[in-house]
Order: sequence, then structure tokens, then C-alpha cells
Amino acid sequence: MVLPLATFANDRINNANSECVIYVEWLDETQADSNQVVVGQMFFQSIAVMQEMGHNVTHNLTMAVNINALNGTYIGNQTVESCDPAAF
Amino acid sequence: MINIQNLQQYGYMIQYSNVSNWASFITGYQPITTGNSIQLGQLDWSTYASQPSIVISPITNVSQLYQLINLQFGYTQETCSSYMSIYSDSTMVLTMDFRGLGLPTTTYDKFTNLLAIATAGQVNCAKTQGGLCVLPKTCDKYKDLFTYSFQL
Repeated sequence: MVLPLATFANDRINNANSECVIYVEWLDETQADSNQVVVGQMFFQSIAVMQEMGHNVTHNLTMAVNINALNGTYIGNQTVESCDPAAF
Repeated sequence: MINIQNLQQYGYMIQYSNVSNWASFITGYQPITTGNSIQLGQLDWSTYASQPSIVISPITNVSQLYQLINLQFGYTQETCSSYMSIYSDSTMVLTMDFRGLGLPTTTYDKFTNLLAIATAGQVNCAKTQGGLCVLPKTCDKYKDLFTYSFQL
């Protein structure tokens, strides 16, 4: 799955100044409920999610690229070669 | 028309369209639908039934935690990709009472280091409870940055 960074970006007005916020938040991993990745609302604008519930149903999540997703959002198993030079 | 074969028995389905105003900074972006959608109960997955999908299982039958094999940050171009791992072999949780992406300390540190490189030091990431990464101008001024992505 490829998820554009812009999935978690949005403009915000702060003290009359406009800024770009990347909503990637720090979690204190010494706390029991903060030592895993937390995926919030903005994710669902890129990825549509379905979970079945009920007796004798494994509560799997099914994910597909949301029809409203940004270009570049991808689910599949294609591979490409590594860039040279690398990004970092 | 709803395809009966695609109706599931019970559960939930989330399809959002306007959590972020991407149209303000991603050239050419227009959402297909204009409203957020959460289905509860009997579900219609027909919009996505023919598309590639991923099915992931909780780590136990009663858990809301899901295995996350790897989380990487970098970019994909037409003929190549370049990603660095920031998190591996642990768990994730999906929740509606959180806005963005929450990363535990070690992973957050790795991500913010890479983001600082990608933004040539312009980004300011707060390492406090609820800390976010902020760029000093509006998002449309950082078009190159938005060629970067996460790979899960």
C-alpha cells in the first residue's frame, strides 16, 4: 500500500498566520495505549475500509483505494527498482 | 443499483471525502463524492468489489490491534522508488477519535528526521503530547514535498 504524505496534510490558521500542518503526531510509547501506530480519520479519505462483524466471522479489515483518494494512492503488489540516488 | 452479492451481513464501512481540503493544494484534485459516509449494519461494498484490496486480520479474535509488517517513508517515481523503514513488525489500531497518524516515539523520531531532510529543514515537529509537524507556509507552497508517501 502506498499512501501519499498529503493524506495527513491540511492548511491551518494559527494566530492569523496560515501554515501547513502534517498531522503525524508524537505518541509517548511509555504509555500502554501509545506504543502502536494509531491510524485516524484522515486515513479514510485515501483508503475505504470495511469490517465484518458477527458470530463465526473473523473481524478482518478489507481495504481498497477510496474513490476520493489522491493520485498515487496504491494497493497492489507491483514492484519497481530502487532509485539511484536514494531519497535520503 | 445495489449488487446483492456484494452485501455483507453486518459490520461497518467508512468512505470519506472531505476530512482534508486537498483541492486547495493538490493541483487538479476533485473528490468524486462530496460527503463522508459511514455504513453500519448491512454493507454495500460494490463500489470497491472489483478493485485490488488488502484483507488484514486482528492479532487475536477479540483484538482491535492489527499486525503492521513494515512502515516506510520515501517516494515512488515512474521507474523507481526509494523508501526507508521507520517501523517494523509491530501493531496498529484504526480509530475515529484521532485525526491523523500517531507514531510511537522511536518511529516519530525516524520520520521527523526524514521529513526534515525532505523539507530542507523547514519543518518544525513538536515532540510533546499531541505534537504535530508544521510548515510555515500554506500546503500549496510545498508541491515537491507531496511527492513523498508512506508505504505499508
